[in-house]
Amino acid sequence: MKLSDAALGVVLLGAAAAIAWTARDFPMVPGQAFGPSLFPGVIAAGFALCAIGLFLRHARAGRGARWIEPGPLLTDPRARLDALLVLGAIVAYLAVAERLGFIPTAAAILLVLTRRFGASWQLAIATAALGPLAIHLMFAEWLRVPLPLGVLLHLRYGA
Amino acid sequence: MIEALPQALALLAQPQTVLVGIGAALFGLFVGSMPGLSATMAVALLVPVSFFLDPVTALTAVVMTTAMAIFAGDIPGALMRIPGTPASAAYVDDAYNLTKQGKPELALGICLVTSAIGGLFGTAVLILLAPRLAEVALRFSGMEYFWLVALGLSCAVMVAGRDPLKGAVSLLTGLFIATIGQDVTSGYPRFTMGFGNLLSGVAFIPAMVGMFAIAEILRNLPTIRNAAEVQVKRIGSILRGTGSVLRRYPVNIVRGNTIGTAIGILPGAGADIAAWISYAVGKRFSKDPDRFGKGSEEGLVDAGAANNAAIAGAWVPALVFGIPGDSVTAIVIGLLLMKGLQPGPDIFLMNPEQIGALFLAFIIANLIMIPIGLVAIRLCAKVLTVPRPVLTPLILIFCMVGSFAIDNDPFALVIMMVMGILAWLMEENGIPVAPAILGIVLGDQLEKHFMTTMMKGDGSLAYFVSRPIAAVLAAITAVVWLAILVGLVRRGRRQEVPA
Repeated sequence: MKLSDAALGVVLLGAAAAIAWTARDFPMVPGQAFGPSLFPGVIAAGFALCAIGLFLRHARAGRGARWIEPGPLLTDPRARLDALLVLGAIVAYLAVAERLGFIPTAAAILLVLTRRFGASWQLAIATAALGPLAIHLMFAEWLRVPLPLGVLLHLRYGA
Repeated sequence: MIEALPQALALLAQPQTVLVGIGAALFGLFVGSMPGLSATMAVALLVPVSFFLDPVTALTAVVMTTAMAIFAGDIPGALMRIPGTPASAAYVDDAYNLTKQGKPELALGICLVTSAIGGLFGTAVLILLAPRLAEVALRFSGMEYFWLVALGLSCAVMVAGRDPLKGAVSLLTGLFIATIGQDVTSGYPRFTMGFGNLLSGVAFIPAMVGMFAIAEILRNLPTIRNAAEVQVKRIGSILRGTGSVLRRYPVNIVRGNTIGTAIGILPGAGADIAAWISYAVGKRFSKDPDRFGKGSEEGLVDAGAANNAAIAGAWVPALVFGIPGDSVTAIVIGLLLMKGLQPGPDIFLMNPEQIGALFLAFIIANLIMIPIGLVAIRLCAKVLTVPRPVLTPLILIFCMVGSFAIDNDPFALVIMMVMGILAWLMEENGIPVAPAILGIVLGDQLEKHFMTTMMKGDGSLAYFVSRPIAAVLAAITAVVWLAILVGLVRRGRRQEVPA
């Protein structure tokens, strides 16, 4: 998704305003005329200056440019669904990994995505079976990261 | 430094370090040779693992991975005309055309040997320059550090892309992300939007994994089903003929090494920009510039000598001032801070054996690059056919686990996803990511030194230039911004003239 100079300028101006507005009631450092709002204020001013630069560039050379050029990830229906599935996988992991456990969740994600991206059934099943096990061994067993066991809890520690 | 050598060797010779080092080298070769996976992404994926290792082992792993990945990026460039990492993009046409002329061995041999020479040159500069600079830096106070960080960030805006205006947007974005969480001076929570998880700031590793790995996955999705085709199935003797080419271009090697190391030292620009600049300089001085892009051995030497030199160069400001020279060292600084090691001049006094071990790791990485590289080139036809439909989902799972692993906090996945989308949007709009990374890493320091100097000076801006070194650094920073502004105005004029 590509924004034109003018559109990007509007976004930056909006960001500058939002930062300045949020920072307006940060308290002062005792005994000084400034506080935690000073640095964000400088950043907001910088964003505003960049926005002005982009507007000048638009005024010079950008007339007739489309405000938003969506690009293949958003226009190509297949790529769009791919992207939604990738981001959806992260959200799904957040939603169910704690209850379901790392291995089943990761296996499901791997199976869906590898198939979706065009791998054969055999390859997809092999990836979904071996991938989560390898990552679990590396992180949970070797590096001691508490990956959720979920439904497999009783398998490891008994019922 | 020399006194620490035995201890440094002992640190490196630990079985765990050796094993991890070899594993990291193979990992770097694999990631670097896979088109679409960059060296920085390799390090971002490595960090969640190295977080659990001791500092020397972790740093060795990073050094091995980057050195191998930057070289390995040349392999698919030569064989498929697809650079494995952005650092190989400058000369991909030359390497591929040599392959088409039936000389893939020569193309890869030049890439391999110049990579190793460049890496050793950069390492020599790192070893000689960093401790000297550290002695100077010991005398700096907060005021000088403020200007040093400001100068580093300004350079990043100047060199990180073709458009400094967008570089500035990137830097400001990074600085803003760094302000999220409790403020450095008073502890007041800023821009947390009510999320308690953001009080300690945007977690660094999930942010890096998002910006380098998730963004890259998103960017590659439209072409994920295009199967890569390897043109060459048989590779002959690789080093034959390489020696005579290298003997023909000694000036190019030294020039490429020097340009590469210097670009590496400059904050915000790394191996990819070093290769582009060295290639352009080589073309300008060449007796045969027309062959550049059509299979020029000279162009390969120029750029190949530069990109690996930049890797070591980038560690100079990172170790001495805590200012990363490229995206990889930005991640390294985040890693060091999390492990309780504050990069800066003190590290040379307090941890000489660890610094010595790091230097040794650099030398070893560049020496073993040649034998490992020779094997890798032979295996590449197999590696390159690892299907992306399998690899991409595996990387995604690895990213999620890696982000979670640092604090065992599921919120890290949210940070990873948001930062990934942000970095993807930035790249789509021609906004370079490197200045934002530097802003995120250095934002806290910049603000801390800024606020303490403001308080010491009672709010007077004149106080910022009241010490001579600070005044000089301020003047250089001003010159950099002047150069940026002049460049922008010129660019605007050029665009005004209808083509």
